[in-house]
Amino acid sequence: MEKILEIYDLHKYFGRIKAVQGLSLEVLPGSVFGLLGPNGSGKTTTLGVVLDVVAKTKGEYKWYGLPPSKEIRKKIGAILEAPAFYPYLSGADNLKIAAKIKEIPFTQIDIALTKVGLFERRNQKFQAYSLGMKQRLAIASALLSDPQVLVLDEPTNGLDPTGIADVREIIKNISAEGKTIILASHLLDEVQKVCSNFAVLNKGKMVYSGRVEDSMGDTEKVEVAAPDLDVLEQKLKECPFASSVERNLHNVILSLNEGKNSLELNQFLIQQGVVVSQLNTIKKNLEKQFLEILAQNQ
Amino acid sequence: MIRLLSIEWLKLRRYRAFNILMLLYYVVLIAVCASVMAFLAYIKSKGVQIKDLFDPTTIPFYDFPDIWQNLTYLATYLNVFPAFMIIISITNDVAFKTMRQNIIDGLNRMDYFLSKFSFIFAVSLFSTLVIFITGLILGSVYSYDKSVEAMFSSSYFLLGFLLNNLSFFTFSFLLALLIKRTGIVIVLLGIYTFFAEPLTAVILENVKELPQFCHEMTAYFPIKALNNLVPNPFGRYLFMEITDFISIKSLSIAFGQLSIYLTLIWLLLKKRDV
Repeated sequence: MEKILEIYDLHKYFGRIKAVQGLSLEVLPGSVFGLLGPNGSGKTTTLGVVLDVVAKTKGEYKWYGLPPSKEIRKKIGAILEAPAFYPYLSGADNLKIAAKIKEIPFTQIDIALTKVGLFERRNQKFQAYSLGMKQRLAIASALLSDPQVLVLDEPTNGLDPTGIADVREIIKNISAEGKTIILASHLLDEVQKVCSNFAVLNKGKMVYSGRVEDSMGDTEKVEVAAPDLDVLEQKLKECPFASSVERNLHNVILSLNEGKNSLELNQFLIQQGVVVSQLNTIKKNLEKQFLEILAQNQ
Repeated sequence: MIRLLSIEWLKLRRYRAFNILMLLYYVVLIAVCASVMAFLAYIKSKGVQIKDLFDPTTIPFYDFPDIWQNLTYLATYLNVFPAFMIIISITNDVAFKTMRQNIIDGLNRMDYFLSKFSFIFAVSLFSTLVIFITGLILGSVYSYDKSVEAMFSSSYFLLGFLLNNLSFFTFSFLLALLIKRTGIVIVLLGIYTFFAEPLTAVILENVKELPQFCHEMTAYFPIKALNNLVPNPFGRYLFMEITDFISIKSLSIAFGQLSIYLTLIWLLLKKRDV
């Protein structure tokens, strides 16, 4: 299968600061690739290099198996950091500039604006847009040439919960069309929710890469709530297959031993005479793993 | 090339500052050119007599072929307006990070450079055309000699004006790329053009104790070199000897400087992380 993006041994130094050191990675078609790392770990620099706005110090990269060129960039939809548009122009006028650069007809503009739900507001000036609308306009701009790959850098940064949900929904829809998405984020939760593969960067080096599914493990955490939390907590502590029981304000969180699931926990609680009002299974999240990985590489 | 120019046009056509500044420039340009007679009549009405010899309104300001040098000389004082616009268009691209986005979207650095330079060329050409048409109209109204030879015999000053504009705007482009802050670039360009360089030039040219090369080096100063393309013609109305041609030397200096500006801009754009 033709790789969408390949990076070999990429280095970028800003004077004495080594922003990226020997990074190699591959992005396969159809995947949602998460580039994860704390602020300053080299995510944006890496994307800047592969998008030809930051000069590399050393290394190679290819898009669609070809060396970089402006023609290839026209077939990539990308936003780096915050959405960059002319504040005094309307959303539609801003996209005309991008369309002219990408040499695609203006008729694509309305299609892209509709996809992100901005069609109604297309004639409003960019400076009057909310942060969420700005971010959606950036995604519309990236979608203009109907590219096979989208590069999104912190697309939910600074958005409110509705805005975050909107943007994630758009990303999922785009991914469902079979497009490849490269997503840089410092939010683990985000990567877990939308990505299929991910790599973790720290201080310019790749410290982990793999599939999101594989990294989740199979031990489960369960969130339980009942009208009387004291009784619940006590019974759970007595449960033979529950461990690390932890009382929160409105619920109790615990881990289940291998091979046990929430159904068995519920049966156990009913036998003990406790009726639960809430029972949630939480997949083990990336957060812990992420912190572990970073701790190992300090 | 047309595509690159139209990208620049899309960026600016709905920009209020651009529209106001450019409208103001062309209105003032035409008004200044057209109102010289009115100005001379005003001087006369105030009782000012030049050298007690003649009536100011008899100055043949709009006579072919002198009109070309007269108008283009006046007009060079106004080209700070479009220069400010060019500076704003570049510093905006830096501030809004749209230069970076343009490249991500599929321009290369040469395309970006050419889109700005084609805009500079278009503005320079349009201004020259405006002067040309204004001159033709004014000349055919006021000139004694309306023969075709007289009409076009000094029209090379229009080319001088074009080169003057190109070089001044490219110089502004370079400053904008180097300094990046709109306000600072505009203030610096203004101070340099109207005070710093002319003052230095006057000192260097007139302090007799200075060695000979000091008197001569001013011809290579950026603004002075441009002004030498269209020398001050008004001395002729005071019976002084003036330069009523464009010397090969000033032409070569201006071309040389333009090439230096373009090269520096290209080196900056090529190397820089945007």
